[in-house]
Amino acid sequence: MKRLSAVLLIAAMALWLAPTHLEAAKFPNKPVRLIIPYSPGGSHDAHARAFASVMEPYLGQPMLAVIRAGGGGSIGASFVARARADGHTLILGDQQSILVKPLIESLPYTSASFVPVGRINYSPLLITVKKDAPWKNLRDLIEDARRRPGKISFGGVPGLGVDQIPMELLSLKAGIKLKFVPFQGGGPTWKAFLGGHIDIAPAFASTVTPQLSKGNVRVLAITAPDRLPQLPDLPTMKEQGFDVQFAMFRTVFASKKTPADILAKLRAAFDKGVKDKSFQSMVKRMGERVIYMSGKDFESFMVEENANMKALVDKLVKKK
Amino acid sequence: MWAQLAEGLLLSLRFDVLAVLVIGMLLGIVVGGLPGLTAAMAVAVLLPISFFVEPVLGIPFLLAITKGAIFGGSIPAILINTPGTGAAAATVLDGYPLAQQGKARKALEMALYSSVIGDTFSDVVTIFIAGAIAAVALLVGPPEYFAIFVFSFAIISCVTGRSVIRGLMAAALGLFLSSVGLDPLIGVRRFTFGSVDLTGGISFIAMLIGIFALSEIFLYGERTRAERKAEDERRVTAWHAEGNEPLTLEEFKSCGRTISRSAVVGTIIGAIPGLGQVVSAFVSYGLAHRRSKEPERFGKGSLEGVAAAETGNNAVNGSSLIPLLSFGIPGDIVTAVLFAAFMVQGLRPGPRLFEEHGAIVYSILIAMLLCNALMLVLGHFSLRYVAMIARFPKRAVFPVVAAFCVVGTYALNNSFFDVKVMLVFGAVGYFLRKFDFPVAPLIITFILGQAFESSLGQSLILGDGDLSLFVRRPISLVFLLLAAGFVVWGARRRTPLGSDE
Repeated sequence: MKRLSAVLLIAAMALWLAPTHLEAAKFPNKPVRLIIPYSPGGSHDAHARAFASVMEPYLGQPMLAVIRAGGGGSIGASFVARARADGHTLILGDQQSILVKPLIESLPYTSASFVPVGRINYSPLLITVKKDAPWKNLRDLIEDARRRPGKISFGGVPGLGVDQIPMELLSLKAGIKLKFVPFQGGGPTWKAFLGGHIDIAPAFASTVTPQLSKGNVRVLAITAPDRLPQLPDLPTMKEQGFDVQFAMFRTVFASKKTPADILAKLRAAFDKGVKDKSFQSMVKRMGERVIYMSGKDFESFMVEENANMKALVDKLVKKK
Repeated sequence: MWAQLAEGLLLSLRFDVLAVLVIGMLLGIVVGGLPGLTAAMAVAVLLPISFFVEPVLGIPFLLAITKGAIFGGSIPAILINTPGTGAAAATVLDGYPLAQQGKARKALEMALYSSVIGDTFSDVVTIFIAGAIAAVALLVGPPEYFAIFVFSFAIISCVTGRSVIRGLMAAALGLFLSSVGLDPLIGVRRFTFGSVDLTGGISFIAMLIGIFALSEIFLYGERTRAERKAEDERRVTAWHAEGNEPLTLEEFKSCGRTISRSAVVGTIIGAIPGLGQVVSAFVSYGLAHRRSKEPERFGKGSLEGVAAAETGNNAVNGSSLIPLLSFGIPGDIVTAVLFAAFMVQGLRPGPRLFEEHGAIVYSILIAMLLCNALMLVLGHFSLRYVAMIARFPKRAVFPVVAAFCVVGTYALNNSFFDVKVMLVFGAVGYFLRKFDFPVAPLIITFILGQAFESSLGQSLILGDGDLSLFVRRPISLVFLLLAAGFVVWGARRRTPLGSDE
């Protein structure tokens, strides 16, 4: 009940919350905003809201999940990059919003404008086909694609969304050409796939599992380096001879210019928050699990991943 | 199924469920009634509440907010020419003229009854034949979407406004405005002039408030003092002549066919992800106009017009859950948020949802029916007081409306940029109305523009550039022929119709 009233209070505050210009010594001295750079609904939104709902005891201030959607995540990321770097404005980012977008377009930020607070988890994609598709494994698909270049279609979010990235990586590795059909999000892609309008859907485990358990679809490969504990039967791409690894990370970032002591406080609160029991169970019920990485460790991972994304962008742009 | 249905009934017939529904609905009506605050926003902000309570309480709460908001949006649409939500944009066309004629209460009651009927029909269909409808909805692929969009554009361009050519011009303007921002196919920026704010496109709600509410204030402002005084007196006289009369049974009955047709149309549109309430309201309105015995009254204060728009938009509410529950595919922002609520509760939408959690899912669907009944009772006793706003002089109401326009638009994204957009569209709306262009086609092409372009691009990619795809697929062919039929019918129409005023 206490939590319920806290949430109601947050809701009321969200309606009039305006930036105050009182400089106080203590952080945080007002609610912390967690920007969601994508439209409501879907896993990103649900993760952010679940996370924000448990953070108050660890931060000492409520955390508000605020949507700033559009531009493939670049609008939300620009907003955070340009906000006051006082630790009160954070973003739940992924590859597309933080790394890929500034590589493709000129934006008021680059990946170096952000510093990681901590990673909640990462989700690989499942390369999914209908049960009546002719391919039994990844090799079948690739051989068929070599015979019929540009004829086999897959859906995803344009501008190198997290579902398009692993398919492009695979195409480069295997030297094949697939037909990319752009959709405005995972939901529309999945619908077109189930309706038989496209051949392949790269989708997250939470989307695929219900259809997989019914036997309506088949998963050719997962894009993670290792098999998933909840779906141990699904082979990785690497096992099938194609060394492609990609998983969308869900990481909380702050502005790079955030003072070190505030960043330390944020990281400490984050570490406690991700271990919160009710947060863990919420994530589990969504069909995901928390795969924590500290902000410090994520920094080096981020450099590496950014280099991968840059290589991909360079190759795709050169091809055109 | 029957056992699960009975179990679901027991789960939902609880005092706390009813209490939650009433609270959610009242909240929804307020949110929907205030221009700028949308159902999607309210549901997204209140979503975390559903994480901490049982699913039979939390999810109906969110649904009640949505239903309340979709109905609530019609209140300012009728009383002050401002659709509270996008869904009520078609309600403005006849609702506001009715209020000007002293018939605000009739319009509001028609909106209430037709909303409840549309919603109930849709919910019942969802409970009993969700599976069959879901399977058909999957057949709708990119070429079919394209044809349905063309059909929607044709129907609304040809029935509103003075002439087809004006309707089509307004539609073209809307289509152009929708292209501002990132293009939906490859993500290239268009017409953004280097502004990050414009990358996300023009805000629909900001535009709606500008075009309808602000332009009305501009029009009022340009009149002389004597004209304004005369108008206020005329409205008060009309009010007294009508005496705040309730809707009569005959008036209601005369709309029976319209309501039934719109309920079916809305339910079908709801089951197809990505179309939504606005499309349903306008398509229902267009069809009602085409089939009406008194088409000349549309746009000048037709109860049938209000009934069509309100049945149409509310009939989407129930069936929009069909693709969500069957495949985990949300059709709009509200269902996307509901999807998150289902997920966090461990109710994973998909083919096994009904097998594994049948009772809970049915209890949620039954709660939707309860919600409709509550809305009927609540509305029935309160609308006569709400309607009194129509009697207030405009010189007192409009400053308040103007303030709400600014505050509401700002609240959308906490962004002053949206307020500027709203002001610009106030001017655009002013000129459109000055020169007798209908705004409905602009609204519908604007809201569907990106999806329209997407579906065209996807079809061309899938068909390797072959345009014959659109006529080779039967569903798409039927809709394209219907669209052509509407244009021909509209162009040959003899009697010029009134504009939106």
